[in-house]
Amino acid sequence: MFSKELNFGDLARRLDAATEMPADLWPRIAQAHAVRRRRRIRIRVAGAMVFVLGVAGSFLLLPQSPAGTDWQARAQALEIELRSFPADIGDPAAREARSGLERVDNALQSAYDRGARANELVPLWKERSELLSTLLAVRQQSASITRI
Amino acid sequence: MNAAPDPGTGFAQDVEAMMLARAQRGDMQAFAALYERFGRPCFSLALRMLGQRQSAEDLVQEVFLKMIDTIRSYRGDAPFGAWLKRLTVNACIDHLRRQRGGSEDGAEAQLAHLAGDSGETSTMVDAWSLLARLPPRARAVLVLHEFEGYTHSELAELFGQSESYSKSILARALGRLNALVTARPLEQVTLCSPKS
Repeated sequence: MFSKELNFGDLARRLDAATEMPADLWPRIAQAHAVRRRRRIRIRVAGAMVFVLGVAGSFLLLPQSPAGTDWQARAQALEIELRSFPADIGDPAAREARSGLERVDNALQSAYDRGARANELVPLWKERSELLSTLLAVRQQSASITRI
Repeated sequence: MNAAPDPGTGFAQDVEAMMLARAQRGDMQAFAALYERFGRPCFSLALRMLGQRQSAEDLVQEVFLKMIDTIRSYRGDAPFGAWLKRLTVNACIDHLRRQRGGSEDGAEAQLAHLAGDSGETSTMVDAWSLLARLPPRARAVLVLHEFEGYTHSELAELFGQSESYSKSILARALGRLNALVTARPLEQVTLCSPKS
């Protein structure tokens, strides 16, 4: 048998005894780890910055959403514009809009008196703007008919 | 014919749960302690399998960096030393695969070529050159089978080959070593470190 000529256990011990460990191997491994770690951190930071810039860019590029509309300012602008037209008489749509405006104005007044918050006031201003838009459309149409 | 797994390689050492927990939290001092314990067996195994000191150093670095990256996934199903040994063996086999001429055909051809080379004399043999005179894959098969106790079934899985492949390579490698040492007892074999 081959094992009679060569004892692998003995050979392994001889090989181990003759093996000199490199003295600076662990410092090299720790250094390589530190370099890789710094590189990973830089990649993560760069990725996070790209993400943040992308999100910020999309907010800047997208048109302002309806949720961001200042309905109170819009209502006031419509009211000013409405004054440049003669009063509407007898139009059912205008009558309905004026009735709605009266109801909304009362609700607004009541809400301000209670010290209501924006989540209650904003929908009322929005409704007021929409009613004023309707009224303005009626008056614009009447004006154009009168000119004809 | 297999030698029992050699406890001298040091992979059989126990690791305290506290040290493992610290390492899994990324504590570099714990990693340094693990290197202190397992660096030598890891280097020794890599050196035996690869036969070149510089390659073995690079491989130990690769294995410990991988260990640092993956130790959180170590669940303790096997002893830590066995897990690290597996990382080392896999890295060595990957290294051999990347080497030019490390194919299975290459190993067979190189062994056949060596068998026909009768010009060497055993008086020139030392412990490291015994291994160095084998082709890389043959050396790896022999080291894993004879020194580390791997079975042919395990070797077949590791190398992605059949059991008959590793049996054939091992038989030829043993024949080659036998021819080298028969004229001189092992006790007279010179010991020296492999060249860098």
